[in-house]
Amino acid sequence: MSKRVILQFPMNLSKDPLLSETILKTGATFNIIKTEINSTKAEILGDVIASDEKIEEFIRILKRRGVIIKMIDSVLLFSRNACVDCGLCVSLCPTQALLLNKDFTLKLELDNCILCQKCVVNCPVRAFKYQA
Amino acid sequence: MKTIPEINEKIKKGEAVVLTAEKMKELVANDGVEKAAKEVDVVTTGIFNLACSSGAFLNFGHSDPPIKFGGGEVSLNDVPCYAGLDAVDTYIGVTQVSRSLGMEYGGGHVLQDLVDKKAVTLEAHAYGTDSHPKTHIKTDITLQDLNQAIMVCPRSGHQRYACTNSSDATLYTHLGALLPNYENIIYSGNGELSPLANDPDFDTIGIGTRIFLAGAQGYIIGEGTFHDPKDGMGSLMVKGDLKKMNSKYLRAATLTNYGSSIFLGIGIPIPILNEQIAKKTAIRDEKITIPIYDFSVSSRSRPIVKEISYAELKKGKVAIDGTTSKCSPISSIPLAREIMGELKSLIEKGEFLLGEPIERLSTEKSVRTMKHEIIRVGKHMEKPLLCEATDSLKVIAKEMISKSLNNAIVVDNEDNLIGMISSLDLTKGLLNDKSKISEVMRTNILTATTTEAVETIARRMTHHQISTMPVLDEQNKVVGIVSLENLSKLLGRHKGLGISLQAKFERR
Repeated sequence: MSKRVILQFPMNLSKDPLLSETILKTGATFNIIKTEINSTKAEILGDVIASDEKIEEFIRILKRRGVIIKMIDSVLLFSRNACVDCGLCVSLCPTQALLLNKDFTLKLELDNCILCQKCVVNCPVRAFKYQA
Repeated sequence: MKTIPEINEKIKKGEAVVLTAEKMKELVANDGVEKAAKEVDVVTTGIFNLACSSGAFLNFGHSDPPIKFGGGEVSLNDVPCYAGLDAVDTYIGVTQVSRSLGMEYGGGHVLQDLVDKKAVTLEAHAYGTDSHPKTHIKTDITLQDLNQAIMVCPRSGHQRYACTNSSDATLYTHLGALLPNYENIIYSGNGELSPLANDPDFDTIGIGTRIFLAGAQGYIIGEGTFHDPKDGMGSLMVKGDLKKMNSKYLRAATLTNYGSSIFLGIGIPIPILNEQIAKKTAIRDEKITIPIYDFSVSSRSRPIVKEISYAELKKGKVAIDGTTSKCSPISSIPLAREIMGELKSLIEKGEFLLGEPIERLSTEKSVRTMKHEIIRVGKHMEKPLLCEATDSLKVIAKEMISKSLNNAIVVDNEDNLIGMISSLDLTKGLLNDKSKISEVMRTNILTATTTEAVETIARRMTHHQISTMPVLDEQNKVVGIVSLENLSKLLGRHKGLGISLQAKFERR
């Protein structure tokens, strides 16, 4: 199994090798997709790859150590009611996180999302919202 | 052979056979046209598209004392409305944008708010007369407070083309964002489900045809603006009662960095009066071909990159010039299906009778372009200082100083463009003890051609943050140079208002 997560490290933890320790402890692997580190925040977007239990353990350990963990669908909010299935976002999405079903309704595969926010900016009915 | 009154009799008795366009195509494929024409009375078609040429006439009733909007200013939720009608009438268009919120909130959003039963602020300023002394009003109203709210769309049902972008920058258009280098294609219209694809010769669709307009029963009141049936781009002018509409089929939209608009759902029933009409409703996506335009050419005559069928576009990926482009419909196919289904059920229940057209729409008209003088770069370029790559820096430097020029264009002996050199390049070169033009010139130069419009070039230069461009003729020979400064002066004479509007809608 693979779960895409956003890890937000409080600045006071910047000296601790939290991610490596958790990887070693759980045996889960972690694929880094994108990092953003500046004077105010340290954030890593990536996939935890392990069994369901190990993923849970991975998340639990990091949370206990003070890391804030967010799932993509709590950061990229989608309103099914607002969406009209126009399909515009599908060709703007660089990673196949937004696709069309056979019947041309919108299909979300948020585990592919890299939070580029092209859909947020361009959706004509503003059905996507980014909540950091 | 059937007639519309005969079909209406069957509808009233609940005996009419109604199929959606999709089911009709299956039936014709399986059982043949003859049988389908005999069995089927009505085929429902549907489309859910951007309808930028839309709006509504509203009447608010008289205030006390009366106010006369005409000649004054009217707005709804800060979106300006037309103030050239009588006392308390106005027209609000969906592309008009809010004075405070810009294109995030436009006329389409006001219409959707009204349909959603939300209160909307009416504000009007008038000059006041003996009979209509009130000069200002500000009040919150809802749709039910209005006497009439009549949606009238001067153009609808027409879109059938696709667009892409060969340039290296994202373009923001009336169909959405076009990524660079053919990365995506956006297509309008939905092909085989749409009304005009099923009745392309206007055999049954005419003035008086009753339609499903965003949940209400509306009418076709004439040919639409830009009606171009000869080119397969017929269009319809439609009206309907906003008070009976459903915002499921009327959705405000903002096309980022382009403007505000509306998505509108239209369903049109096609009576199957004979075999010819039945045959036309059997059309499939494979047979409906549309052009893909390259929108990076900002001229009226955009080049066609490819002609392609809806069947290919709907597969989601199309190859252009060795690139695989992802395709987006901008027209909702699921909602078109819902419209066809809803219209079918209304007819089956006897709640929707067919309207008999009182006049046919033209099948002959074609479209004119705007009568005006195009301001072409060729007429407004300057004479360039030309040099060759092997020339000496010092010689060219002297020449630039004596002629007070900031740029020289490097060409070969047949005036083909090689590069460009600015006074800054020259200074750097001389400081670093370079001696030849070739050592300091810049290659990979953006160019203009003599026939391009100055507005296009000014936008290109602003976008790429460059101040001068060589101008090439049709044989690609360097014939001139243009500077953004001069073009801006030229355009500034015409577009004081345009510049202030541009500043207002700076890209985010």
